[in-house]
Amino acid sequence: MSRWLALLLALLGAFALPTQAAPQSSFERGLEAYRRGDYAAARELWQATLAEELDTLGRARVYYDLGNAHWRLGATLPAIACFTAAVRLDPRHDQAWQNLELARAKASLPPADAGDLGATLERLLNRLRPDERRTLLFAALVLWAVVLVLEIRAGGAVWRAALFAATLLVVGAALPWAHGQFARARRQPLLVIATGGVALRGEPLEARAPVGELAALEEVERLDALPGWVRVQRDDGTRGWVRAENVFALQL
Amino acid sequence: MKLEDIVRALLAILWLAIAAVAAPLAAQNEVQVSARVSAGVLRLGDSGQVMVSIENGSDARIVALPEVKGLRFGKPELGNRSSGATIIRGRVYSQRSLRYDIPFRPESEGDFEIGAIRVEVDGRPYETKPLRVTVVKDITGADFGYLDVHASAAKVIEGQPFSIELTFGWDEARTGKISFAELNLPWWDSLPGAIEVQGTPIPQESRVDGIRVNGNQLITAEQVESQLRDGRSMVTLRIQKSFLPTRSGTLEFPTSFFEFGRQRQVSFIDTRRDSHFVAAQPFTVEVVPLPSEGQPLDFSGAVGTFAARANADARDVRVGDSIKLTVEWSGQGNLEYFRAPDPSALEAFRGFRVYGTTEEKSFERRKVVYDLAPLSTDVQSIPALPLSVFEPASSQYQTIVTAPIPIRVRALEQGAALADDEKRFERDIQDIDARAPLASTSVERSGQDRFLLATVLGVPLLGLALRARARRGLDPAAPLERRRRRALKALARALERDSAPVAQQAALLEFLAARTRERVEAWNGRDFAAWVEAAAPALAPELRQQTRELLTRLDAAVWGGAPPLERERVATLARALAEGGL
Repeated sequence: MSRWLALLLALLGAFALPTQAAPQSSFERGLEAYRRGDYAAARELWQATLAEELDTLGRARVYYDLGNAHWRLGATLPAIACFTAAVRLDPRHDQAWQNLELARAKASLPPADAGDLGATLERLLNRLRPDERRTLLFAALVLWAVVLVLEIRAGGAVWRAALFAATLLVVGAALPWAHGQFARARRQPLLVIATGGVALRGEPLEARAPVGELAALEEVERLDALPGWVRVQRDDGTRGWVRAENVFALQL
Repeated sequence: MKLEDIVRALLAILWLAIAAVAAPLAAQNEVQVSARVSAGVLRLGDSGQVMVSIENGSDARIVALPEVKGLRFGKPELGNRSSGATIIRGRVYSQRSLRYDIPFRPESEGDFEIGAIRVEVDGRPYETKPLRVTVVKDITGADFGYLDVHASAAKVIEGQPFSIELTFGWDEARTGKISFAELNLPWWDSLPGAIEVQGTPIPQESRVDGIRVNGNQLITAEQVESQLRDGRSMVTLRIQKSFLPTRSGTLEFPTSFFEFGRQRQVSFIDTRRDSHFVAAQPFTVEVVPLPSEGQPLDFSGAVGTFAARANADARDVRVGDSIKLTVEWSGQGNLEYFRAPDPSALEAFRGFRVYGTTEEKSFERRKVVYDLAPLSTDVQSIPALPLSVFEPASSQYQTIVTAPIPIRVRALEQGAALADDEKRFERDIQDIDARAPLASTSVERSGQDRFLLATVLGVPLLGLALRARARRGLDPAAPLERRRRRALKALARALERDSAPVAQQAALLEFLAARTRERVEAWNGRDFAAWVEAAAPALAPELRQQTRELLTRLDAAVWGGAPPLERERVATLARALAEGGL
């Protein structure tokens, strides 16, 4: 009995002790900076947050906040890049979609969601987050296996129809997941955030003649980097070097 | 059968064959095409018919009608069509005939020759002989009635409405002898280049219904005061139609006729008319295009002589309050068809916001209600609203304006003008998300995807392989398996249905075939002992013995006349066989 009493007292004592304030994370300090109007500081702090290991939805939120900081600083294209990253990581982040469309409209760019059939299908397929896509497909597979076992045991037209329906369900569930797999083919995507054309050069030297020109918000693949330069590859396979400040890395 | 009967039958068959062959031969008679008129002498205003008859032709059409100045032809209509066959002295005569009726109406008096009418019969061309028609003036018609048709203007501008007025009537002294009145107006509902617009409505008290036009349309005329013509008092009716020319050119109004008189009942179903005819001379209306010289850029398409007036439902308002500005254009012109001015596109209305318009159109006025809201206290009047119009009388473009309406605009209570609201409510980005991100779990996502891909490919393959193995052709839903399961019940039903030895044997063999998944023919004459040794060695010996005995007894019953077996015995043995592993 005395032992239980001692334990209880120890617990009470632990709660009674003054707790030490946990050190603030870069994200929280970014929030404070943003609230007091120091958008540049908020931007730096949230950039630092992105370097940490974050879950997908958390990373989407940081990108979203970082986009707001860029927007308040008047940097429209980096803001658009951040909102783009946010909606790719969390396709159901409605506020990020709103900010993205507003920023694109203000920059006289076409809307991210064109509203046509292709864009609508793309939006539907992207509606589920990556984890949800995996879960959905896995659940459909389990259901298919259960129906298969029942069909093997019982047989009959009803169970065959159920197996067919379950097969269709698996195919339907596989679509968003497969779409996500193909969409993530670009491992280190970069977005061009310079207004107007950005020169693509064969070597990381300003003296070299341009081998191409990248458009604003064009997405390219990061291949290599040197101080102040990034080597990229376009969709048509063209490779070249661009100044690092002209591109924005999407850490997806 | 005698030889004489055979010969008689052969002759009958031969006669029928000849008749069958003769029928199509007879049908190949020569085609004859002829034409005649319903009456050789017609009164001006009356209508006639050319009847084209085609004999011995199965298919025919009128290719072309002749042009006859003074006669107006209508559309040919297929009249009678008949066919038949007669046998005279063993020969078959077939006849086919059809007739086209072509209505026509004379437009002037005189002798007319209707030229050859081209007809195509069974793909070959034919022509009719020329016909003659004499048209005489109806002298009494001109004495007893009259018809005047004239346009409001012989020359109009494209888009300028004009009207056609018809006045017609008959001698007031003959009113008791007039039971019908019909107008024949070739231009009615058929005036290319012009559309009919709503005209002045007829007052209720002077409406006269039942005037027939072109034989198929009943219209209403207005009865006006009787006119004195050639010393006779005439009952006078009037019809007015308004048109809007849509393109330049000449609008033709051919000869119009007025037929009136008495209609008599000559039999129970037939009536006859005692008619009089009067005609009105043909005329044209020239439509000239709008001049391009001096045409303003904001020309509304209005053509005519217009007047405009405007009024506002409120003149002392606050900023942003709605003011209904009603503008009304009236006069002679295409009031229904011009484009009403848009204040939001006018510099003078910059101090207003236009929320919308509502329009009312009629032949005599055009009313547009604009919903306006003043944007600031600087606004002191509703400006004049201009409408660019082409005036046919002066052949010039003019601008008709409404009078400005003075208004007083008071400030809102908080002093904010409406124009500032837009600035205040400019769209902005959504606020930041303050939820802290979570640290990532160390599970590698690509590893998950690889595992999922392997599962997606592997599980179905494995499952289908298992299914194939489990089935091995023994699908519970397969017909053979269902037959095997139902064999006992089928045997019981068959034994109950028929107790004859043949039926009992057939039922038992069917049972054995179903249980062994074979066709029943396989068990006909099969040596049961040898089969059991080879295919069902696990079957108990006593069961083998009982089955063999039963089959032997059934054979004896079927072929040797022995009595049938007890139904229960066969069923019991079958049940034992099924439970014993068969």
